[in-house]
Amino acid sequence: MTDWIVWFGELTHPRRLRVRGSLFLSGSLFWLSAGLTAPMLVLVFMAFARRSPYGEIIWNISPDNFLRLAGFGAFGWTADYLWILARSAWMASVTTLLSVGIAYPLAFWIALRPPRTRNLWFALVVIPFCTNLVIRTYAWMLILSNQMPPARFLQWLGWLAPEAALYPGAGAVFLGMVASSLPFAALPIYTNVERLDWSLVEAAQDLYGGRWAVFRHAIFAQTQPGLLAGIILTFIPAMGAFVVPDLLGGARTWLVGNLIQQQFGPSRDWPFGAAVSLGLMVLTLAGLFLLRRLEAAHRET
Amino acid sequence: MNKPTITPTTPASDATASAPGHHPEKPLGRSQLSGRELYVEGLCKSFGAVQVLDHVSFEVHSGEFVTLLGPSGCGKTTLLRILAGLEVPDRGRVRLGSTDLTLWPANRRPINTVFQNYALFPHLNVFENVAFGLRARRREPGEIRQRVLDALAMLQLDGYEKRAVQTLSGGQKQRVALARALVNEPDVLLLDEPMSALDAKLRAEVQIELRRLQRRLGRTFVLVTHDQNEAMTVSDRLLVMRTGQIVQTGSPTEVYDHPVDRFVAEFLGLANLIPAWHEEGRLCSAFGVLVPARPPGWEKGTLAIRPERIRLHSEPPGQNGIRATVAEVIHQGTHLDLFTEPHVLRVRASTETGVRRGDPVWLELPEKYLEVLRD
Repeated sequence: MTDWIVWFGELTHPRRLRVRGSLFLSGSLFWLSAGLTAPMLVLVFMAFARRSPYGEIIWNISPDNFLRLAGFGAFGWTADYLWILARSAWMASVTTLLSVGIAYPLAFWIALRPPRTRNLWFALVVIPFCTNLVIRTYAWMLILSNQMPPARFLQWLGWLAPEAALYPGAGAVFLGMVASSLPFAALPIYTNVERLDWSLVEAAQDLYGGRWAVFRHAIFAQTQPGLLAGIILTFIPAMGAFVVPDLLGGARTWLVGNLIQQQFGPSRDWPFGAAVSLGLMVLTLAGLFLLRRLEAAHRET
Repeated sequence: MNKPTITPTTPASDATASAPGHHPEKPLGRSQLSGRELYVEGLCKSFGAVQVLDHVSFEVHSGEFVTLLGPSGCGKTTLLRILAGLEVPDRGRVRLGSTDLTLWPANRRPINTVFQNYALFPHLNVFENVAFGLRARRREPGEIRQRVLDALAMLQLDGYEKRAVQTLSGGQKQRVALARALVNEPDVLLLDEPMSALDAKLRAEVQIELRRLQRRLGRTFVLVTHDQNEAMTVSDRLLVMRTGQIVQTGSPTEVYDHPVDRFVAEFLGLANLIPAWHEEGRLCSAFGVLVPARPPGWEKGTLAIRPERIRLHSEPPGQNGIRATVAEVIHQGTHLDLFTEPHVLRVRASTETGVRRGDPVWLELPEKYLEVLRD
């Protein structure tokens, strides 16, 4: 007895199937190794290398870059780089919170429109996506400048000094960040809300549930996957953002994105840039891990 | 062994609890409201231009198993949703005893529902699903535990407390849904086509179980279905609905034996419908002169007879006899279905009759089984 098997209505041999399977996989394997694993390995090795005075990479293994990121420099310890990391994490968190906080009710609002207008509203959320981020950010700069209606109105109210603009500033940065990440937050939540089983809402009401119990068990529990996806899709890009904070924040405060860009660009300190990138990745993964733990803890109760 | 742990209701034990103006939360307690009758008075409901319910009135006695039976789109589900408090009627009232529930929200009504798709909470396990109503009403943890375990035991779900609801079979899910509703000891249990997701064999078993459960608990059950077999099996009383109105009310036997019109006769079981008219003081049909037990009140209408009521003879019978030829014989296992020529009648005969296709026979339509119908 040979071990012939029927596979999708075809008589074949397990060995032949294995060969075919690896052939099928080879494309994506090549893509993943060339496009992800190889650069990642280069990044990891480079983070332990050193920079010559002329900007060349000297391949000797030392933890200097990480010590530098942690603040140990030639002139004693400073928290400068750690502050940059912390500031990025804070900014990404606030951006995520605002984006998801706006996207969640928005998704419900759109999902409850009549089918004919629903797609229109949804398109309005997604359309800004089609414009380049830099152009969108310049548009915000224009809108927030001192001669435009929003600033004029606040000047008239006396909340803003005469001739002052609404940017640069933290408010402008968050506005720009939320505007750019809203589609990322709204999309997964919307697809989730659209498939909501509303009979659970009725069941919760039928079982004496008040407003809060109905929301928690019939709506929130069902939208949790979409909410989680929205948070992740907003948080990760926000962590590495540097274009929007630069343009709308007036390039006064530094974020990790700025730092990395600086190292690979003007400073020509690739090894340190690699170390910062790894630091950012660790921070992001830690955030995701925390989120998973929170979700698991929620499911326990 | 099943312990009948959910206390059977004592009829009308505490009628004073329903004095007007008293807090709606209070009557939800154990057996305070039980034994109260459900009154539905002149309910009307329209969705846009479509009138779904048209002045529907009926009452359900305490401990009665009533079925709203009708084809899809007859308004029975809307009616159930109004009873549950998930829909507000345009006109009319819903009363429980002397308490007007019409404008009470669903979460205040001492009425619980078993939903068509069960609507179990997927993120909660079996125990938490059943405990939901008790937790929402902030019962003591010890009481919740005891009552949930009792309810699960009653429905043969012991040991399933920790199971995720997604891992249950259709029949188990349905029992969880029943336990989740019954654990609250509702005055009225509403069931919205609860068997539609079960296969035919399981459905037949569950119907009998449901009937026995209701008898044991002595609670009021209101079932919605379009399945006439199910309705016949479980109910004390049928309310047959059509296009937003109740066309006939009565026990399964009454409705089956004496349908009021063609719609009911055709919807419930099989019936031979015979158009008839008055001519020279006699009732005529395509089969000749027929004499029903009860003279019809119309000039022109329909007579109906169930296939199992028609008798086969080899000689002409005394009254209502029809000469026919057997056109088709279908062996159904327990009986034969015969179809006749030239006038088509469906006749149910014993398998021992030995009739064959092409045989000439005499059919007798006994007058007491010849029902007179409105069109």
